[in-house]
Amino acid sequence: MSSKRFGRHVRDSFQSLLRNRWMAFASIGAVTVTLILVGVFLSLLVNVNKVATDFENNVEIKVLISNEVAESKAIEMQQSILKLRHVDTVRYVTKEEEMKEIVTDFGSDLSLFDQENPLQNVIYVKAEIPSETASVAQQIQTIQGVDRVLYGKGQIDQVFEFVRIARLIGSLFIVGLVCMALFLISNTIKVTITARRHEIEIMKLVGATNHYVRMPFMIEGALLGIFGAIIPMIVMTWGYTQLYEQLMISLRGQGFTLLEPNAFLWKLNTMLLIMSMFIGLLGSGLSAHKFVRVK
Amino acid sequence: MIEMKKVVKKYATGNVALKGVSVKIEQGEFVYVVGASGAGKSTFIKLLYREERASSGAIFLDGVDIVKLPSRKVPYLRRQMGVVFQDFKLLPAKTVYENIAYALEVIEADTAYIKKRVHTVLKLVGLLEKAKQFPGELSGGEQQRVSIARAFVNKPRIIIADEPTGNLDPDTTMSIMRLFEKIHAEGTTVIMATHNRDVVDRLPHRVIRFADGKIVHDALRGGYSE
Repeated sequence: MSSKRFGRHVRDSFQSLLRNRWMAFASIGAVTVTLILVGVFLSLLVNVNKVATDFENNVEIKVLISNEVAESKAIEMQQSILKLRHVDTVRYVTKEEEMKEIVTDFGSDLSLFDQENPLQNVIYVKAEIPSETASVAQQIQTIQGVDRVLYGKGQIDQVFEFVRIARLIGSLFIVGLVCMALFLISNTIKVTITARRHEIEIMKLVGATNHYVRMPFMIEGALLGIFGAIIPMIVMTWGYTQLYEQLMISLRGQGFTLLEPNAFLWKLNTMLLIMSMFIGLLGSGLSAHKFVRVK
Repeated sequence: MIEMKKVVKKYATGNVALKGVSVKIEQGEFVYVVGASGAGKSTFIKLLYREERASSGAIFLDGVDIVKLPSRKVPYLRRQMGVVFQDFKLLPAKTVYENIAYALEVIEADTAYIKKRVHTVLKLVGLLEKAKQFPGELSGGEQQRVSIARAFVNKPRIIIADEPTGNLDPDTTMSIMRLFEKIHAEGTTVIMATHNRDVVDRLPHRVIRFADGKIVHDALRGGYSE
């Protein structure tokens, strides 16, 4: 297509948007509302994923060492655990260090245990893949000198199951919303085109090819998409930044983090813009196709 | 130039609008197509610019059978002719200038040429000062002038008009007819379906009369009721 012709199409599309401004306003409104929903759910899903991954990565096996085992033997045990399959990191903590940590967390009321420390020396183990935690724990159980192995068996399985379902439902929700957006936008554009059927008929009468008739509508659809993405991008940028600042204060203490706004919002906004433009283009293309056929 | 051979048009409803029409129209002719409502005039006109496709028979335009023309080639057929309607069929959201220029933009004419040509045509139809107005701001007669200007702007060899004066008062009708005469004088073929007895009698040309889907009379310089 020549640049002259494309220029005319763009000019026609802008003119048409201006002259049919109420229809355009309705389309942009539909795009805006849908994209805000998509943006919110996408942010939620991606961050639930992030928190779940953080949780997965935080899962540790706590290996309690029998009190009879000497410290030198405990170090040897640490080495043999490290050699086991799927073990990522190993950290040895003496019962004194454990006590100190508890006192720091829960206050000096516990300092009366200073006299007789009821705790045991501990080795903290992290599996390479969170789902291998159970098999690693089983292997450790067989090592001599191990008193008990704790990793919240049932709890972890439940969390993994929850994360799996949350990801599935979240993804289905996003796909559903995108389909809804496509339907809403193509329908609104269909209404715009139906209202201008007369115009299309005249275009064809003066010898416009189907492609020529369709083109301004498609550009118009893409423009509607672009304009419709502006408010959602602003809303998401402002809202996410605010929420991030509020939530991170409480989440950081628990070892979880949300996605950092700058990098995440750049990706989210680009995606919203491209998706919106594509939906506008596709929606108008599909609708225009129906009206431009010649007998 | 245009030759119809045993053309039949049967609509999906079962109504047979044309029943084996054969006719020849030469380049540069001015032809009135007359007849009562439902006689087949409009169908005859629509078949010429392929708004409708004949059910059987052949319609040759410069030797090409437009009945068999593939749909994707129809826009190029329409660029060889200008069509004028009773209800003007102007784009309400475009100005007078834009409405006329559109027919040239479609064929990707050069911008400078479009400007010059639209100016010439606007002068021909006497609407130079109204170039920036929208169709809704014009009288019926003025709107029909715009419609004629659009039909004529790309120098078509044929102008097809379907009841072009049907919505106009007698004075305006005559001024529109003078415009058609002017265009015809430049060598353009004009085929006009009309009900207007006065026009046909005052400006005599070839008259083709339809009745019940057939041509019942064809006179080279006839009047309306002959």
